[in-house]
Amino acid sequence: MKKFAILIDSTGDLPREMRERYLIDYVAMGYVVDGIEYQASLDWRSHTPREFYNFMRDGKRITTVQVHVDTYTERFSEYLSAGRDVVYIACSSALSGSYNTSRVVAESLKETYPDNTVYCVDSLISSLGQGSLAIAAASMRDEGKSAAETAEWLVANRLKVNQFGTVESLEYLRAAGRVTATSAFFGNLFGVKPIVISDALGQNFAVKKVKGALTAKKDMAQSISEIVENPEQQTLYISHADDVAAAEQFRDEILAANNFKDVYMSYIGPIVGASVGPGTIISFCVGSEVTVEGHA
Amino acid sequence: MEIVSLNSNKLAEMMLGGYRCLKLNESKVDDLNVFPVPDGDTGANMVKTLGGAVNEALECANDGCGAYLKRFARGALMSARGNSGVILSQFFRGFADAAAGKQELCAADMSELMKSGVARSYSAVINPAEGTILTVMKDASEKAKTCAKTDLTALFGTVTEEMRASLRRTPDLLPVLKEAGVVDSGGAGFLCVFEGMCAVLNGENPDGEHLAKRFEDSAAPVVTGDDAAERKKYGVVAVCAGDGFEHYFGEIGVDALILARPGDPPSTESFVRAFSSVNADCLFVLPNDPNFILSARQAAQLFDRRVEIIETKSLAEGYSALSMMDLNRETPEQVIDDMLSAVSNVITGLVTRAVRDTRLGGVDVKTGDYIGLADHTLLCADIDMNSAVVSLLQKLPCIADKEVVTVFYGAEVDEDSCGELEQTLSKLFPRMEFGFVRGGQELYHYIISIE
Repeated sequence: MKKFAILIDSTGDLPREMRERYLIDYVAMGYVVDGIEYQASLDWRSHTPREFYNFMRDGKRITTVQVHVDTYTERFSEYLSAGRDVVYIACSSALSGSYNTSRVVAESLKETYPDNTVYCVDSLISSLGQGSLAIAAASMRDEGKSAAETAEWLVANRLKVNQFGTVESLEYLRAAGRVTATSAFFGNLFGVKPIVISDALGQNFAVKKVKGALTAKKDMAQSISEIVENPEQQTLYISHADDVAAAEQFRDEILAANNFKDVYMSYIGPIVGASVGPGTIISFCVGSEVTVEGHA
Repeated sequence: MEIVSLNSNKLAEMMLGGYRCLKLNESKVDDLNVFPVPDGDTGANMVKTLGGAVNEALECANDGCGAYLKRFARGALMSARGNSGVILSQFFRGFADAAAGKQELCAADMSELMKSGVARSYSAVINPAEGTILTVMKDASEKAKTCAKTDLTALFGTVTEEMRASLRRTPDLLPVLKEAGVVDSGGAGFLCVFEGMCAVLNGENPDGEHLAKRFEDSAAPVVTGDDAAERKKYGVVAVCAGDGFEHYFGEIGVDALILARPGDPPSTESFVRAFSSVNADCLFVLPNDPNFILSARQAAQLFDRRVEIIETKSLAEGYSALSMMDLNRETPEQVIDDMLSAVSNVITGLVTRAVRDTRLGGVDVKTGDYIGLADHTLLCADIDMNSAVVSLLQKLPCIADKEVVTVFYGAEVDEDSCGELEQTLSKLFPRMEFGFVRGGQELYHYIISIE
């Protein structure tokens, strides 16, 4: 039995070094700047993170394109034709239509490749939350688990990945239609920081607002203490939209209150970045299951 | 002329007609997108999807309806773009399933095809939402089932008419459409396809003017009912001064503003008038000046609904309270708590010009000096406006605990001067966040909220 392949997509935010270490592949979405569509490379092939986020800082509108059917067909077929199953861990279906498309493609490929299967898993999260689920899947694969067992585990455990993040302005998320928040969170209010979680439906949900960037970091560090399980045995993931200093400060605040085994920090890739905007910082860790469902 | 069956040649012509009608209306469909993302370029995505299908199936036009639709569905899937494209491709996949092995299609077959198409489309979406393309498909299919017709032109006519009606109903099912005042873009694109197919069946031109006009009517903006008459749970009334504050308070969600000018404090009557203009069960009132609290209280006593006075003593406190307000809270007490806890954390800094010589709290003041006050205590005086702000902050005993400083500049202060001040402050207090906002107030050059 050949080992199954693990795929994420452009919202999984795992850079090359991590994908190589854990043998994780990805299918690319796209982004559009000035009417030109670029492949949303997790290795920043078209623009550096600084260039990309400077577009947004300069007020350029960047839009995103979900994974095309032919991209899925091509990438899934590569593995199926080699006799391998695929576990595809998709961006939350509440944020992208890609997961839906992937299911349709996986179904249509059954005819051509009856002996192997693509298991599409809706991660109900994005960025390094989605990436961390892929890393967990990789260790299950190392333990000899099958694709079916791994997919089942992912579905059972995906809501244990807790997200706490804050953005410079909710306007990016709002313009992209990718946040659930009441009117209390809008209006351009200086110093007001929304805390955004990924809820049980996989939506970005603005749960509360606090005054000041430092207060926001401390508040999220405190929230993590309340939900985290066995921090000494897990990696804390932090992703940021081109603000290393803020991410490091966030890390220090979290570590002051929680004893994580280690920390992995990386950039928010172009797809999530286009929705959240520069200056965003997000943490992910495993804790009690997320049950909140946001309403606008 | 009655048509009781279709061969694959005619079907191929109809599909091309559907494509041409969709193409004709592509940009109008795009314009219906609620969110301006290419993910949602519905018209363009559906055109690509259907175009790929028509091309792919071209060479099967003589092979019978079953074979034609099988290729058509495959082509649609391979060219599918976006959600609407994927759903459309699955609709035709359902067609292909139900048409398998059939040379020709009669009206009863067509009704089966639609049913199968709807089932496939729904199963392609993880959380099917009503008020979308799916609803338009489903309504049309159900209409087809109930209309026992043998004539295909009559069937297509009835089905297409139902699609138009269903499309008009989408905003009632999906609030985001109602809010934007549009019908669903995917549903609109789907209607175009059937309008075009229908036209070909009737021997009409599928991209003629009349179809463009008809589509415009079907997709016309939706006028939503005026909700203003509905009574809200909470309303907010605030006193303010300056066009900048006026703008921001309105944006944050203040329902009624009472404008105060120097030397002209708001009367009890102006509070009552403001209260009456807000149709809410419970009013939160921010006087934003210690001298206005009493008038607000008196007005509250004269008013027959619940009024809660948040005793804000400055515009800075008012702004802070409003910025942390959340009117979606369960109880008024929670709303009040949020605001009071924000206010308790604010120090109000004021910079203005002294109108006479004085010595107060160890500070010598000359007429015309810029003086800095914190919560109504005089802390400094300086001949330079910006230097007064700097020394005000430096002399604040608790500045080390503060993080966010919002500076509202007055009507007489220009933006260049703010820019210089911002640079100076950021250098002196690197840990703090400084924001400059136009307050537009008279008399006070700067009103500063220090939190």
